Amino acid sequence: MPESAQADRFVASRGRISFYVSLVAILWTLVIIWAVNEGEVPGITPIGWGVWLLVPMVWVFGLPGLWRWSQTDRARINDELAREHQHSAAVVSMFVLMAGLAVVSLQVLGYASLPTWWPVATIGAGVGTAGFCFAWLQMSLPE
Amino acid sequence: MRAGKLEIRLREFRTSAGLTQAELAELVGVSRKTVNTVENGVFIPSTLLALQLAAVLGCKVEDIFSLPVRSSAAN
Repeated sequence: MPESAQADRFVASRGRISFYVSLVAILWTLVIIWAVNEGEVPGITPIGWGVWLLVPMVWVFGLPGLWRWSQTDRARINDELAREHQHSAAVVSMFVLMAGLAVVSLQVLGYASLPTWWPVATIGAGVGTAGFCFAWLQMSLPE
Repeated sequence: MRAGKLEIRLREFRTSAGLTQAELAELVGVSRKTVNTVENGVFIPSTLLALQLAAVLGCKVEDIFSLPVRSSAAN
């Protein structure tokens, strides 16, 4: 199979992979929230959570295929339709992050009392939203 | 195919040229899905991509993408 055909297959599967890595990010965030509530956060779990949050970000906004395909094929993979979807995912994710941080600012100003896990949930939701939004846009394309 | 107020005749020109979506995508350097979404009016391409498509298909951009002709003139 020529590389360009493989690149097209990659484009077809990219949305699905984005969904799964974002799902893991959300599940990991829920584990962290549960651990914070229990007051027993295992030593390496938050580090793993932070590292894993980078995976959906790199997958959606990075340059997948850097290690595998030529520059021409990478340009095909990250063409203007992909950039449009990245842009839409960034907008939705930023909205979620800003909403979460706005609530945090209410606490700072003394108007609200938030649980300690709120910032963790905000970051996880922001990252997850970007991944899910990108996945939905990619997977809803006509074949 | 119509995308909002845009008439798109990419599929006609592509089939006339005897190209598949994958072949056209390869020639203009985008993914096959991008060509497909343009043909189906899901995605309106940039000016650069529109010019590349026209150049590859040997026609003008306005042959592929055009505004719909109004049935009556606006006053």
